[in-house]
Amino acid sequence: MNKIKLRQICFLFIGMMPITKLLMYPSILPYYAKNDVVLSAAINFILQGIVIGFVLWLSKKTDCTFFQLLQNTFGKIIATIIYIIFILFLLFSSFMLITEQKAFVINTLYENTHTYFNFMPFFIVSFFACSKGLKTIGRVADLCMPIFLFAFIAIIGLSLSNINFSSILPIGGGKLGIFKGNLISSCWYTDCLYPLFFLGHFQYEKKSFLKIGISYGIGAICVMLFLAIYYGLYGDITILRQNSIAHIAKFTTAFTSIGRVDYVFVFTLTLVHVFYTIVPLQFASNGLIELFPKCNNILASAIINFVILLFIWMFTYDFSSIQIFYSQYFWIFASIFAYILPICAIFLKKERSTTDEKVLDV
Amino acid sequence: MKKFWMFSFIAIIGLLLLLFFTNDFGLMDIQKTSFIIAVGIDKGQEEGKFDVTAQIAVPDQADGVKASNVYVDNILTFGDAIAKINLKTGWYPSLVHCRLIVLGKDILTTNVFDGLNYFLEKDIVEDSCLISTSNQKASETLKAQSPIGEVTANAITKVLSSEAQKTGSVSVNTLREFAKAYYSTAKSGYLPTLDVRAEADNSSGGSGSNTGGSGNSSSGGSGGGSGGGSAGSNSENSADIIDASQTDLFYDGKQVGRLNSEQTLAFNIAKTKTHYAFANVDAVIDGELANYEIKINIVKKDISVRMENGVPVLHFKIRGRVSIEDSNKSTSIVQTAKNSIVPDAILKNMEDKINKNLTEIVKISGQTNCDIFEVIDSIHKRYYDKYQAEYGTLLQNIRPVFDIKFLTSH
Repeated sequence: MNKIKLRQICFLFIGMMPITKLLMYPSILPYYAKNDVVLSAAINFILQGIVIGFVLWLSKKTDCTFFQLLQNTFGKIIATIIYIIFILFLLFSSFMLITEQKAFVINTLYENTHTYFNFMPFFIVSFFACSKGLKTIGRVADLCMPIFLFAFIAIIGLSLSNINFSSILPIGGGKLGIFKGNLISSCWYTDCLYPLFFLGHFQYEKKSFLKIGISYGIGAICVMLFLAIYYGLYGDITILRQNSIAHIAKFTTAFTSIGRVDYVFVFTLTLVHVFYTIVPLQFASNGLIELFPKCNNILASAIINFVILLFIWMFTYDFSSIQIFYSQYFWIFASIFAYILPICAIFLKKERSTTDEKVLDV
Repeated sequence: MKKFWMFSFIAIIGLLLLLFFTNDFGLMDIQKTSFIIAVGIDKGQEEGKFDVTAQIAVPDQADGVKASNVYVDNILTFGDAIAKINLKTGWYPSLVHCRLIVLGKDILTTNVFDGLNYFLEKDIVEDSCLISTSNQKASETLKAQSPIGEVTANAITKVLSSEAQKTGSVSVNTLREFAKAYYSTAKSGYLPTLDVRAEADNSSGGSGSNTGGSGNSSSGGSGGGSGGGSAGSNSENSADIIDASQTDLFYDGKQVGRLNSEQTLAFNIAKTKTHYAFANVDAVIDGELANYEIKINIVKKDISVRMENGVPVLHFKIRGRVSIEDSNKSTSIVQTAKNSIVPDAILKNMEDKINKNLTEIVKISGQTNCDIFEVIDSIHKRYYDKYQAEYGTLLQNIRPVFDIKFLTSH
């Protein structure tokens, strides 16, 4: 139930990875990086790309899962501790993304619904997806990729008349702010950790490196294009305009007579966002099952979702505080768990498992 | 076990639906909500305070839409004005339908963003909201009587519409563009200036929906006061003309200069989204001086800034096709037919006129520090070193170069 195809990982990078970077990120990044939003994002993507490259190399050398690699190297107890820490990190990183989506839904789509319960349906979807294992990530990626591309192209098309790429000039004007921008945006750049959790669940094929590289590049270009257009649209007041996908296409002249048609695409992209924010929860849920084989899918999914739901309720009115905390401190955790340790994973003992069943059907 | 999960699932869905429907489907209570369609901001009697005029739309079953003005005097922030309006009227005003912000003449000498920041920060008004200055107090402007009996805010938004921009008669600007320019490197911007003049004689009496007179503005001292009155009223058989052919220039949030109608037209032809401009030009044709109304179809326009020998050179390139619409001299039928091919003298004079007006604007730009042609922004983007070295004198040293060519349409 946990097999995933290479194609689906490619689709994940093309059609799902960009979405988390299209809500608040385009308005927060210029606070530090000024007009160098594209440059700052490019650095983040390159760093992520390097990590993904290392993990792909690792996948070529072994068909063990990440947990099995840890076990091979450190023994069961230490491997379990390390793996639990990674699961906690996944929950920690997904909390910001889920809170962000909650804020987006409240501010943009359903302003008058009940504050505590309006986001509950998310957890029904999440609970179901987590209980179905990693294969659902692949299936959702298959579905989301064309949907995302269609909605993304439509929303960019609607904003074409306002595109002003000269706004991102002069390149390098943001100076140190560019790197500060890298640090504060680390909560949106933990995607490079995901291939580590796909280890052992997909088969390394010929030209996998190239295929995933191209897919990742397309996803990165989508984000950078969006950032450039959005900054060109609002200039220095971009930092005041959060919920970017709801603001980017609204100046289309035709809307004065036919209304905000772009909301069709905004809803579509929000749907893709829902599925992508569930991905780390699925990894966490699957991780629990790996650690405690007696724990069934439903129980693991319930535990993971309940923990996040509890935190969402606890911090219902603290979105700004959460944003500030993540922008100031999350880079410390991200650099260790999403960048340094995944690269260090190449040094783990790559003993091959004895049976395919052991590897693929955890 | 399956039954248990099924039951749980249905119970959760039922609970969520129950909660979802407890808020009356998220509908706003129309009896308690008023829709502000225009806002006027004037300088208050006390230093640092504002007078706010809110034009509120009132749906009327018989006559469509009516509007009334509500005044709040001497408030420190716009948020305070909203609370005061609620206190005085019992309505909680919503700004989502606000399409116009008018800045009164007195407030233009201070940083207008002291009053406008509320609209930017809260994102409660659409960024496409029109914004303009006024030759009168904003409260007076929002009481103007439309010649065809329209609500004042609607009449003004038509004057400031994108169609008006396309003809070049008005330099329309929105909250987003104005704020973007203010927060840019050059801190400059422009706004159309509304001038309300009691010129039109509306002998037919206008629409029956407009009744009442001017608002009963009451000063509220430091605590803030409020008053009210109908907008776009027509109790007398007179109407106002709303003219927006002049343009106010801003630097650092304050008004620093003004372009007259002809300069505004030239600016629009060179810089903004003007496609079909109408202009007057004098020319001697067949030995007789006449005034011609012409239509210019702008086929190409481009403004570029280049550093040439250390001097910022502003290149204007405009191409247009011209046709004669009318003249003030009666001519023979043969001459009228000939006029379908526009004489060179008219084309040349129009080119010179645009040239002269643009030169004047460049001069005004240097005198007022208002970077209306975005020269500083261009140099900041493309010649960053030069920008750092010569910031402060760039606008004064601009050398304009014109490449304006009009051809006959036929």
